[in-house]
Amino acid sequence: MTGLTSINPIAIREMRARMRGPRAFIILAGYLLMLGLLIFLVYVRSGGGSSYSYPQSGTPPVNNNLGPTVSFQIGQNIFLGIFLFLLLLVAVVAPAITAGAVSREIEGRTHDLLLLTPAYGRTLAFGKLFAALAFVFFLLMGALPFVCIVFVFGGVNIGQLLTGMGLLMLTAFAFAVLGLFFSALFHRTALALIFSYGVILGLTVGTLLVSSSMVALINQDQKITPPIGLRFNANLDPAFEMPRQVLLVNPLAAIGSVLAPNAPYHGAVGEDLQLFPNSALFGGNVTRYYASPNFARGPGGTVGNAVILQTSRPPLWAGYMLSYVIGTVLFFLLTLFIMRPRVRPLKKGRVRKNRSKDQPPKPAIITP
Amino acid sequence: MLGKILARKVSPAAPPPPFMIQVQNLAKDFDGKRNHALMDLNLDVPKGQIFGLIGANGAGKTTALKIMATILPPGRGDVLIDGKSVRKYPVQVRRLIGYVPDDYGLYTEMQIDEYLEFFAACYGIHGKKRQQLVNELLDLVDLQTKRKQLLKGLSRGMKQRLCLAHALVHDPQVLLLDEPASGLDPRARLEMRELMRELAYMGKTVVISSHALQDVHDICDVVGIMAHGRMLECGPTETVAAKGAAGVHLRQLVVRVVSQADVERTLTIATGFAAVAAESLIADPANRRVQVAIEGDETTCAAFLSYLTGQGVAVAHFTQRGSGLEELFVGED
Repeated sequence: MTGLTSINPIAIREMRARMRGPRAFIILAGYLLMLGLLIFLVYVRSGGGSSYSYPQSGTPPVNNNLGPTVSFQIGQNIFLGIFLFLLLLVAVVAPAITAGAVSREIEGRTHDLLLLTPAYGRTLAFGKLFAALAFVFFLLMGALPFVCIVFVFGGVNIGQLLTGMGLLMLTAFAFAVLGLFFSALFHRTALALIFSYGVILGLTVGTLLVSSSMVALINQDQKITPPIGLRFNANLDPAFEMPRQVLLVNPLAAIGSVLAPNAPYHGAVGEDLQLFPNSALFGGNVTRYYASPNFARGPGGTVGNAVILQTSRPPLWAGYMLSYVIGTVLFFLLTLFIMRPRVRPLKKGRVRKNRSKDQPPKPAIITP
Repeated sequence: MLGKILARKVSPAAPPPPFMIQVQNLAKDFDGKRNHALMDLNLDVPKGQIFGLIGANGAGKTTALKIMATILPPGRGDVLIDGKSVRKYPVQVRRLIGYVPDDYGLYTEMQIDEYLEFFAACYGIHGKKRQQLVNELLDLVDLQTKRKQLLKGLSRGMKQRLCLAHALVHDPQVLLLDEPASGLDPRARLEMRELMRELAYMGKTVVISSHALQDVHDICDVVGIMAHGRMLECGPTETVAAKGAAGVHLRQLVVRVVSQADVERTLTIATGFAAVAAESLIADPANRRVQVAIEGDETTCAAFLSYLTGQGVAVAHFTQRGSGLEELFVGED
């Protein structure tokens, strides 16, 4: 540990403080218990409690094979259940830790002491961020054995699991940086938390509202009532990409697109903006996604009533990753700029210039 | 270019600044311009001297120390630490100073040795050197036997000594200690004084702020009395203390009488004495005490006592309250 302290003393101190005592382990145990309960509920709601396999209501079998249909759908439902839960965890915990990065030092009267050391600035920012991410990753890694349950049911491959974990880690990184940025900006935990959660709410719920509103406007224009708010009608202008582009920063859509890489997918005659098209449990239209034996991969278009997945377009999660990497780097650079070592600025206005420069300094008054 | 380098090499080294700390016309306002925390403060502290900054709450001591420590920016004027301006070179100045705030600033979940190791690492001290340094500092502040104790369980005196050890981690030339003796019991005060003497022996320039002269009387070579952001009096400790004891200024006297009836009588009679400020009279019938502020010197005090007894008040105890110089000089502002 002594050697590690040499690398970044702030990170080591933060991690030690967080893991000292039973609190961290109680949090971990409680969180894993909740995750286990959630998996059980998803399993039961997906029809896994039945003594034999059968396709879900309204779901056509794939190649008339009844058994694997439910099994892989249970696997996919559990995958989505776990990853949405972990996403919620990341969205709540990551900014909660970093939002107090600077302000808790001020509240604990240690900020001034750190300010005087060469560690203030980059070392402090990196250390706080590293410690927060280490704790979030610790929680994510703790959930990994649960995540592997999906392999029992099928429907999810190792690549999709790793992509999902990668998405969560990137999201944790982004949200932690967001919290750190607002903490450095406001120097107040409550304000930093409000702004961090506000931005996260905007990214998750706000983008959904904007995207669905666009879809609703288009559908209204076409005088069509869509079955759900987020779905384009197939008669729409296929070139209109904006509703999908808005969802590029939405973590829910990114998680959904891991199992359905081309969803929201873009057929030759329209857009289908379902978040989780392959899971009826999470509001997806499975009939449309796994439409018929005509379901096939190709350049796009339709065969009969089915939409052919457009494999040439990169999946939404790839765009999400790219946009989050760029955004996170920019915000972190801004944070470093704000946290550069300097004399604490005045609350109002700038430091005034020395107006008494021309006045001679008063003589020394000490005569020991 | 080469000429410049050679010229730099052959030119004689710049003479060291005469003073380790130079405060020049320092002023600082808060809340816009409504609150003048410091007004044209001037101060020079030679290297190796222990300087005591004395004043009541709000006198500007902490603000002055924070500006010297580069935590707050100066409003007007400047502070030079070893010739370096806190305004222009705050990062360089930080390497020269060790600062102990009045409110400690401790990571309570850490152990004593972890705390010192942490700050040593923050100053880029690693490996065996760090271990050795921590051991030396723990020996210096006499916390070696408590090194594995959590900070939240430490007494105030131990916390104060630990903060001092932390301020010494990077071997600074200047120590700025904000109220190091406040809230300490007599034994802890004694230990703190011993520690200060040791630091002075090590050649450190120390500035100590305090609200009472007795806290710094035995430690400081020079004291400065501050009130309302100004330096009222400054000089060798003994001179300033003697002036405070003998001079004409506002004194707080406490008179204890033998009965509660005498309390009422004292209140009535005391207003007849010319040097007494009538609005300053405070009665404490339960303890048979009357507090009175009187303007004058020691002779005036004696005359007041004679006046009371002459009027038939049975005085059981008569004393002057507090010997803090900020109280002595409060009437001069």
